[in-house]
Amino acid sequence: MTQRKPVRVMVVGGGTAGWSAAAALARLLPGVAEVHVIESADVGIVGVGEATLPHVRQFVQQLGIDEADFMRATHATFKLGIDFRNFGRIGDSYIHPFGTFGREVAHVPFHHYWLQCRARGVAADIGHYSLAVQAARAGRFAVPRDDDLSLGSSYGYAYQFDAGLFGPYLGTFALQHGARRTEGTIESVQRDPLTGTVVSVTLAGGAQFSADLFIDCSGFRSLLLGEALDEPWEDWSHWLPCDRAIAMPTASPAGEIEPYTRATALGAGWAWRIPLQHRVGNGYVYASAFLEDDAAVAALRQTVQGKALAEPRQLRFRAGRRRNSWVGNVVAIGLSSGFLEPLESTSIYLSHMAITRLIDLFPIDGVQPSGAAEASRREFNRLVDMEYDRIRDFLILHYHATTRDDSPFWDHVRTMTVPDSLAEKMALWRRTGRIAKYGEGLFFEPSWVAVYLGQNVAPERWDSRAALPQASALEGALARLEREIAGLASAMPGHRQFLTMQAARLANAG
Amino acid sequence: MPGSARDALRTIVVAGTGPVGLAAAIALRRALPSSMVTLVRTPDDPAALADSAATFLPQTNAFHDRLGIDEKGLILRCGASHRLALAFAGWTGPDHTTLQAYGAAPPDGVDPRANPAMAATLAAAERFAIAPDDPALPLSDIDHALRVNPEAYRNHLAALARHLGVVGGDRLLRAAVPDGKGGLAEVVLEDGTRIGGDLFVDGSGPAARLASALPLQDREDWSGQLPCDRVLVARQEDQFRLTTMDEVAAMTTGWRASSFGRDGCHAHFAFQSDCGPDEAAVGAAGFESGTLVAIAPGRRAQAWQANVLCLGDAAAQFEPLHWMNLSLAHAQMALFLEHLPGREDEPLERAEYNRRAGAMADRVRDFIALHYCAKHRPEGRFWAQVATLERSDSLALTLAEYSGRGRLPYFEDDMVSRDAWKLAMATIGLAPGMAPRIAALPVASQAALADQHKARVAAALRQAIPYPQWLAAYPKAFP
Ligand SMILES: Cc1cc2nc3c(=O)[nH]c(=O)nc-3n(C[C@H](O)[C@H](O)[C@H](O)COP(=O)(O)OP(=O)(O)OC[C@H]3O[C@@H](n4cnc5c(N)ncnc54)[C@H](O)[C@@H]3O)c2cc1C
Repeated sequence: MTQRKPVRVMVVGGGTAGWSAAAALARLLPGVAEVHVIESADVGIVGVGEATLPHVRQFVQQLGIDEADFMRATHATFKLGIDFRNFGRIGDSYIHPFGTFGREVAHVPFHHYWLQCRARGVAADIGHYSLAVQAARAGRFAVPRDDDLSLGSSYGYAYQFDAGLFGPYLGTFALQHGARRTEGTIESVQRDPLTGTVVSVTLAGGAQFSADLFIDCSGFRSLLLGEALDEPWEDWSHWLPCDRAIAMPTASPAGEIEPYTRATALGAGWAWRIPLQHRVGNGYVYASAFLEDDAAVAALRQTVQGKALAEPRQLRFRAGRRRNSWVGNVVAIGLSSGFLEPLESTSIYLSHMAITRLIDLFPIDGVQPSGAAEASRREFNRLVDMEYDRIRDFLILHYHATTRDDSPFWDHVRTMTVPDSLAEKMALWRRTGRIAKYGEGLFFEPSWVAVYLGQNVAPERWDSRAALPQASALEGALARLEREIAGLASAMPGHRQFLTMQAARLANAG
Repeated sequence: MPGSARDALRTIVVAGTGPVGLAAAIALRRALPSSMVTLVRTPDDPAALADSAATFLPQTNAFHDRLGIDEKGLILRCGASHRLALAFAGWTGPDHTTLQAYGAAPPDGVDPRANPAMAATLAAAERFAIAPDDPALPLSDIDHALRVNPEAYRNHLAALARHLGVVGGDRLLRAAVPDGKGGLAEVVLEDGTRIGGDLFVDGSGPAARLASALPLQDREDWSGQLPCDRVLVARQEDQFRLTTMDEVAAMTTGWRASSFGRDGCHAHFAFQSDCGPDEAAVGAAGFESGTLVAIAPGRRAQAWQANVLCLGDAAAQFEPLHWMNLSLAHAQMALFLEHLPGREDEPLERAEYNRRAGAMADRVRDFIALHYCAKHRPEGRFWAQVATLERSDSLALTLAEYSGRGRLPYFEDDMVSRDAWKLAMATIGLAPGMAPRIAALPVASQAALADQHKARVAAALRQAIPYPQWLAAYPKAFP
């Protein structure tokens, strides 16, 4: 076996994206990638991003990180889904769970049978047939079982953690696995005048560092991809008009910790509520074209419960992405590559997905302008594009599927023209109750079903086979399923109790 | 909440009484027990390669389960036997044979060219076992395909169809009558009987005797990617062998596949008409007799139009390498059941089916085309021609990623498993590129991966028994 020279990788930025990339590269590609992180205390991190998706577990697991240890360090709680309030209509609330609804019967998805019973007036809310939803509503949690056939394995979970602690936790891990760190602010970027590739960066004070491959995790500023390489921006703000957020943590209320994130639609956007072990993260994501900043702060203050732990902080962004995430020897990961607002907690997923792809496609023989590295780039960009496009459509659905007409913001999103790809999916659902399927990416059938039904987009017709079973038999089966799920949910410990037991196990083991 | 279930299809007409038509009739009748499913006979067409199949693929087993056809019935009544691997002889050079097995490929980091899959090792040793469900058990890595006697299989399906209440099948189709709206109004039988339907399934083979009456006949042409447009179909009853391995041999003029059923050898010789007169090619095949058929590689752009669904050779025609024709029909049938329409037309649903069924067919095309991408090919005009074939973008990407870093990019609706892709790459002698995660392992750990694989294969081999012995014990072992 020939001895390869390690590829010198510079990670620019030490936020969640940067330290996730550094940790994964150091742990999974030792000897192949030599990792150097540059972060700036003066610039700081964005400091939000606390709700995640179930994929984060795989990401953490593949690094060999112990779940209980990591959860303790980041004051993390469990998340079973998102409770969407006031989206389809003021007063509505539905949970988009990390899990399925019912079971398919004779190869026909459950929701067709549910629609059938619903039309006869004999079905409960669809959430009653999802264990994730019922556990969430009851404030309970248990780890899913791993046998495929039981209802106990019909859900997944993610975490809600302290955005200020997750990066540093992975930072310590990355340094333990051989990553190097430099503190300083990058002031200029040097490029090869012939090839245009990035050669080095220079910090305030004059220190210069070079590398073969640069991972731009510099946040919204997009120091390398956006500023140095000027990669064009594809703007999606006509579909996703929210461009600002006010964030403000509050003290935890007494009582159960909700094992889910809340998203409450407001006049010009929506507010998040993310319960952690030690505090609650809150924020109002809004469209500045429809709301003044002061009014946003006032609205958030009105929405939150509990004592504010800090002054409200404003963040600015826009929806869209850089045309390509990987250009030359620069790969942008995290906010520097693009942004889709946090309505479905997809941003950290997008970073982790990109990191995993980068590792799978890593140019182990170096980053030449053409050849193998070019194939890596093309494939990486293809995969990232696909993920962005699908998530974009799913997010737009949350705004568009509404009857709200109580503010100019909701009038706009309700009546706007959506991408053809989404319009076709919605029409297919309305006409037939079917979900356009794909096997790779995020948000499969149950997710679309949850949002459609939760926001009152009901199909006009559904699968003819749902009318085959005898009405009484179907009703009985649904009632049994509902009872079984209620039983399983009530047998779970409370979320807080589960966390306490987990901490105790960890303490005993240590 | 308003709305209602769609009105179920009431009358379904299925043209074609071969395995494609019969399976469709069975599946539809099972899905909609209250519907009237009528079979209409069409002339047997030897060019309907999906219908003449004497052997299946591993994924057929699950589809058969769904139809309610169990392996035991096939073994006891249709003379079924088991295949674990397919030997490609002379494909990458003279005197060179590689085995393409079913089931799991060796794990990442282990070159499948030097470390055969478990099923290949079993096949080479003429041993057999049924894979257990528990993935911890070494033998769970294998999978098998069945061969059957085609006539018995067809009778078996026909009996099941009758048992389920499917009617007809005795009278020939005379004509299909368009409805003026892009679909069909009715079919006319030889005795003048007219049968209308909510849905018409065309399983009549390449002639597409229903769909050919429709206004749209657009096709995707695959002749630039798949070389063979002639197939000689033969049966050699004297060539009897009880084996878990079949064979595809590269000849200078094409390729010849032999599947050794319990009823003799079912052979195909496939070649390209441009390479010389048919007689010369056929002479070189070495068969005493056979039926020569012409095929036009390609698929219907829209296999489902208005109220007419094409399946099997009516939907896609291609050379029978790996005998995938019937399996594709099955996979598309399952996809159709997922999109089972009601009585009223839903263009969006059809578009969704056509999109996915098309992607599925295109990936099958890619998989077959992959077998022509070997660096070293046999001598002869056919193979020189093969060297000039185009590659689809999806195949080019698959090849580049595999040889670049041992990776197989994901494609939606690919009915060929990742393991099968990997093992096919080994068949054509293509080495997996170095995956970054493997490159990061110490050399000793890399070597250990191959050793672990070998040990698992060896353990499995000890638990398998000689195939003739396994088969002889079958009626007793599975009462
Ligand atoms: C309002 C809001 C809510 C969000 N909620 C969620 C959520 O619930 N779930 C979710 O998954 N995601 C969420 N996100 C996204 C999430 O915050 C980010 O994906 C995540 O924090 C990663 O950020 P980052 O590492 O790319 O950027 P940052 O955290 O901004 O890090 C940038 C890094 O680059 C460094 N840097 C910048 N410039 C220089 C320089 N010149 N020299 C040296 N270093 C430099 C900084 O020091 C810092 O270390 C949210 C985002 C916003 C705006």
